[in-house]
Amino acid sequence: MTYRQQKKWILIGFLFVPLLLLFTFSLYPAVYMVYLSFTNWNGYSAEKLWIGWANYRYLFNNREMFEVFSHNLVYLLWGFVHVGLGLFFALILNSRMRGRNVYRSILFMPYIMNGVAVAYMFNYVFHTEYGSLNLLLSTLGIGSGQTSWFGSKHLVNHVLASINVWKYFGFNMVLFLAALQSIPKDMLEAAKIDGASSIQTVRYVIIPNIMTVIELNLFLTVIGALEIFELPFVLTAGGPLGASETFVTKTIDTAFTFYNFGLASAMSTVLVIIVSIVLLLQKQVLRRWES
Amino acid sequence: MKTASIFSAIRSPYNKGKRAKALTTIREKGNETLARQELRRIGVALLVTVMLVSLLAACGGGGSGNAGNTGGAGGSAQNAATSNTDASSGGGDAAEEPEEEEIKGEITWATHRVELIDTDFKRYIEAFKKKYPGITDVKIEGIKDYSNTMRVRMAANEFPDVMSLVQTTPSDFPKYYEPLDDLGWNDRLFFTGFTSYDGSLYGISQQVALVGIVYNKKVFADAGVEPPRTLDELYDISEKLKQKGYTPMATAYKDAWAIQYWEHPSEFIYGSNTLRNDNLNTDAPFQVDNAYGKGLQILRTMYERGYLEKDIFSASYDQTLKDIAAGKTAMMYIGNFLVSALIQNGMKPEDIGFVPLPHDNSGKLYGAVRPDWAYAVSKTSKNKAAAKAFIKFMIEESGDFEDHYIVSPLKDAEHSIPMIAEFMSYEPELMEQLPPHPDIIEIENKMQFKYRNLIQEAIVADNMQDVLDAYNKKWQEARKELNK
Repeated sequence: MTYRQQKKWILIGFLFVPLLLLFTFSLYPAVYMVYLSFTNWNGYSAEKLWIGWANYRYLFNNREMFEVFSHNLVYLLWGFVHVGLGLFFALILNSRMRGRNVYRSILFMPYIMNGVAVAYMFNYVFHTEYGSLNLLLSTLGIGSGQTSWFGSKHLVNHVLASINVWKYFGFNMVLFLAALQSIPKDMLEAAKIDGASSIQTVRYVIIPNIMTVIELNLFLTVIGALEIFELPFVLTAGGPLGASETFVTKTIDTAFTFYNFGLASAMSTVLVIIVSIVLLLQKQVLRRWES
Repeated sequence: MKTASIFSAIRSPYNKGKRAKALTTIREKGNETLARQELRRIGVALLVTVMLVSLLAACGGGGSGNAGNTGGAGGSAQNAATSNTDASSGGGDAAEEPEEEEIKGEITWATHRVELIDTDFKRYIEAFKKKYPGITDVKIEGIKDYSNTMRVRMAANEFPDVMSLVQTTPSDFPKYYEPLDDLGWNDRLFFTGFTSYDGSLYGISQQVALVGIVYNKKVFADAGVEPPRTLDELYDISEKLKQKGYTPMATAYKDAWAIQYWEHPSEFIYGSNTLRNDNLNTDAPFQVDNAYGKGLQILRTMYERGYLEKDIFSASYDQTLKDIAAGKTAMMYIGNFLVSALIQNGMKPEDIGFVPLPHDNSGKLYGAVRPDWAYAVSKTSKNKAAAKAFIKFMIEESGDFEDHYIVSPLKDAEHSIPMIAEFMSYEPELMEQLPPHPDIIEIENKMQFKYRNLIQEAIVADNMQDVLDAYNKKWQEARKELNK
């Protein structure tokens, strides 16, 4: 066998497993989901009746299905907070601070914790009667000590989104740290010699250098905000009165409570399309802003 | 086998014959121009794709092959079971011995009552094995999210022998479940309507849930109140309990399922269990001044007067259990299964009371009776005789009902449960829940409707009619779309 052939077969051999996994667990289900969105499948029956665009028509005729995106918007706003916090802590912990590795691990810890466990934990923090937050506030003399954090239509999404900040800013921080360490040292030294203040260094040297990672973090934040699911699902079940429903919890209800897998697949497909559109827009905006 | 052929395809370059062939192909192709290289690269990509597809096909093929096998085995087992029942029905009572001989081997049982798997259920299974020495094992699978987990397994055609019947359209019952008519209970059972199709019974309710007010007797004694017999008395004792600093009535509002029982007062006011099915006759079922509105008004009044939890939006079922057991909360309107849950939370059985909920001031009381999950034997089971014997054992001999303060689905079973006796001493008329009409289910799923959500909204809304009108509109639209 020629060297070229050997190379070829080794490449195929190595690619086979990851491609197989990609096909079976990612591409095949995705294609199948699109197929299901054109059927009226109920989740268990052997028959899947092809009904064309009916699910999509129903979806776009029922505006309230999309109204829940206003809840996702709250998560997006708080998303910017955790990207900002991530950058802030990355800048601090990138210096030669004593014990920085300990701080890094502590701040990163929430991200690796199980999402449902986090949700349960915060249930104890925000509980109206037994929660530690109300206890703390009333001890400090702020508020009535009876604030219903999950029971208020106006607060609930902000409370949930702030939990998300706690969970994800450590992850943003780690990405930023990696980027910061890839900035050439001589560039920073040159800025220092030229007499740049630390704020000027950040504004004119560091940020332009880590633009791609900022973009990546925003990208992940937007996806996260659009696909947020486990916190409302576990903590509020969409309540009070649907105030904390998100598009994904609605999709899950459609599939598993009302057994309309066809419509739920259509909703998921639409979500994929929306995410792609938002990301394209974001890319355009950032590119313009850079130049 | 197909998988093996794929691996041999991967190894093929090392295989002499194929290698020679590959070499000739290359020779034929002559010099490798850039374009050719490109072609070959495409060829490689194609090859990978073909391999993937064939592997997937192999998986699929294997799967369907298995399904075919189990289907076949299921069929033969079914034949065996039928001939078996024929024999036993022919032989009558005297033929019990040969029937017992048939009951052997191993079965699996998937249950949602996960908290009992390592304790009481183990005991019952030991007793079952003692009765039928041929039984080698009963494997229990505890499944928490039962309905969804089982639906996935149904789609994959993987069933345990004994399971709980997962609600599908009744016409699908014969596809998934084995008829249970030969257990000979049909007329003696509650709720066969939910699990029957075309004259055959496919599931047996594992218990019968009575719905009423579960209350803490110590709290009632402390506040000096008696269980209510009229609606005004209910409000009165709630006021007294509130004055004493107790939470009079728990709803577990946040966990919507626990509030669903407040649908029953509407049925009592309507005077019939056909309330839900009669919705099919109207375009606007929910009105403030009809049975729905009046029933909702009871809970709404309790809410407005502050007789429910202080912050109902964060009131959960788990916390309610603790609060009733600890004597902070006095009552809850729910099924009698709450009794054993309270005992698990440390409450003494003698402190738990259970009475019907009054819906008006006439003194006439109703008790709603609801079905639970139903025992079923799966169509594909290979040991149907043992599976049926196990269900019979669980209902007639296990002691499950006394142990857990629940009610047998057999109408003529005797009860020694004090809470049930207290409930019955109020002489309520029992109102058996009816299976919903298939059209009702279809419409409700189409409009994505659960009555419990309507209850949640209606009792806290500024204007109840607005909430009801919104649901009426959805109801109309869904009906129109489905032509029902």
